[in-house]
Amino acid sequence: MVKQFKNVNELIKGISEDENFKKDAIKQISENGLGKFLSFLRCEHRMTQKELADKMGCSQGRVSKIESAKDDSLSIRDFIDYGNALGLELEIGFRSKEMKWVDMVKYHAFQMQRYLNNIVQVAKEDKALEEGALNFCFETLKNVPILILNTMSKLPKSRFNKPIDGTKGKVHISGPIQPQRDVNANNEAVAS
Amino acid sequence: MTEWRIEPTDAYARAHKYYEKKQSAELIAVLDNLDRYFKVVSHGVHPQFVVSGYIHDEGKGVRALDQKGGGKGKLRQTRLYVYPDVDQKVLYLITIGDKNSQKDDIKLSADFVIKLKGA
Repeated sequence: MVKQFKNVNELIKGISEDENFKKDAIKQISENGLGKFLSFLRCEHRMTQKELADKMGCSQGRVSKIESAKDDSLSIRDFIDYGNALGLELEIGFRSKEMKWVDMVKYHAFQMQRYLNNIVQVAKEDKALEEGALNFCFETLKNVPILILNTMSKLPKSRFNKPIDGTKGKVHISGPIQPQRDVNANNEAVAS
Repeated sequence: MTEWRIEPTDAYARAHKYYEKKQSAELIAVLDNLDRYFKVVSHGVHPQFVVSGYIHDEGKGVRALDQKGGGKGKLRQTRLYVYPDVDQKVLYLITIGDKNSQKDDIKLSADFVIKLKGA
């Protein structure tokens, strides 16, 4: 029977025989997660180590060292320089060790509201920007439920057993269809 | 949306067990690079855009992930041959070898891809 694995740790556990080897391998592989993440960012930006090194003003060997360094030997300076070269800003944050996935979802939901409020604040008293902000809010209102429905469709007993493709189908999220002038009136009311 | 998976061939499984017993440090080093490569691919970067010093194109879409040797324990140069099947989202692990077996390993890998695509 063909065996497939979700990640390298599973592979090691699945086909290695020696327990000490499994422990050593998994430990060593997990010691340089940050460098691997930087390597992912570079590839996502379709850059070679040489191209990134040129932007950072260092040698390709330096980039290679950063990407393969153990987590505890990387400095904040490395992240800032690497981010600058990729056009990214470094964000540092802490979260409670007790935080669960559900707490993360709630946290990001509130963060989303915060960012939407910022957009609305910036758009105030500019008709064109207000229109854009409102359209973006509607877009968000449509897309976020689609993401959640797609996740729900992965549950075995889900009623939504087919993924919903936002580019093909449409999800009706409003009440009964209203005449166009009423919709406009509502939009103005929301925007004000 | 399916997620990427790793599928070892029988040849890989045999080589893995051999290296685990005889050259475990080399095996860990190539598995570390496999983890590096797989994390990038499984986070949505097309395999052709994963470029690094440890990755070598061997033709027919086969890529060799090496560890150069050296370091504290002076590891022997070792290569892991993989084939990323983009359509199926499967990363096949074909075999592991060293400089001496390089020619045979590349031939084995090319034959594997031909058989896989013909199937």
